[in-house]
Amino acid sequence: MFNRSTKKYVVLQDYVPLREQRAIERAVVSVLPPLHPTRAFVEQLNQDLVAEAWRQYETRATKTNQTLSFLGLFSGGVLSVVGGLAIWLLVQREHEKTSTDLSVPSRRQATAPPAISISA
Amino acid sequence: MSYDNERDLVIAAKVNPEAFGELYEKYVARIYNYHYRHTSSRTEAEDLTSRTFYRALRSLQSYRETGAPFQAWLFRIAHNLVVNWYRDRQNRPTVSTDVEDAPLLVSSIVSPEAWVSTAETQQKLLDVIQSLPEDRKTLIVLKFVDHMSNAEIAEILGRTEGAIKALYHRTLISLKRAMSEGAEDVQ
Repeated sequence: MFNRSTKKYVVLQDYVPLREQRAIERAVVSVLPPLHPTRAFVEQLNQDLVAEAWRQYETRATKTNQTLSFLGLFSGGVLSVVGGLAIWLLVQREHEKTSTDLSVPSRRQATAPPAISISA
Repeated sequence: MSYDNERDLVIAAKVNPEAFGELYEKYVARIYNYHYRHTSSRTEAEDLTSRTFYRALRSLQSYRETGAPFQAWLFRIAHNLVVNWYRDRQNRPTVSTDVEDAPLLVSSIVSPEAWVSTAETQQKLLDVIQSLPEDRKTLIVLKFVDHMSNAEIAEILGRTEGAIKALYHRTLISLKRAMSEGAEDVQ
C-alpha cells in the first residue's frame, strides 16, 4: 500500500549483533594502530605555541593597561570638570548669600526709631 | 606545575602559557593521529595539527565550559580543519555505502568473526576505511581509536546523538560488508 523509502530507516535485517560490532572494532583497531608524531615535531610546535602564547598574553596585558590608563584619564577629566562646576556653584551661592545679607537690612535696623539729633 | 583536573588546567591556560603547553602535550598525539587517519600523510597531519593548536590558542579566551569537555571542543576545531581540507582537495574518493544502494543483505554475508586477518584483508579494510566519507571516517577514528561516546562525537560533528547512532550503524554495516568480502576472497 505504502511504498516507504528505506533511505531514512535502518533495515531490520541489517542489524549488527554486539559480538560482531566488537569483532569489527577489533579489526578496525588492528588496521588503525595509533601513530605518533615525531619527537622533533612535538617539541618544535610546543616551543612555537608557548612563544605565541606569551606574545598573545603580553599583547593582551598591554591593551588592558592602555584601556585602564585611558579610562583613568577620562574619568579623572570628568571628575575634574564636575568638581570645578561644583566649586563654582558653591562660590556663586556663597556670593549671592553675601550680597543678599548686605542689601537687606536686619530686623533690628528696620524697627529701630530714627536717631534724633539734638543741636544746641 | 600540576593541576588536579583538566578544568583547572584549561582555566590556567587562559592566563599561563606554560599551562597551555601542558594541554598541548596531553592532546598532541591524539590530534595528530586523528589528522593522519584522514589525510594519510605525515606532512599534512603535522600541518593540520599545528593549525588546530594555533586556532585553539587564539580561541581559548572565548572557551566556556558548557557541559562538553575540553577534548570535544579541541576535536571540533580539528574536525572543522579536516572538513576544510577535504573541501580544498575536492578529489576525495567516496564509496556509496548507503543501505538502499547495497545489493546484498548484511544478514546473508559472512560474519566479521570469520574475518581472517592477513596483510591482504587488512589492506582491503584499510582501503575501505580510507574511501569512506569524511564524517564516517571521523566517527570510526573517534569511536574505535579514541573511544569517545556518541554524545562526545555528536558534539564534535555538530549533530544529535541519534544521528550519530544511525551513522554508526550504517558505518558498521559498510565495514561488515567489506570484511565479509575480504573473508570470502581469502576462502
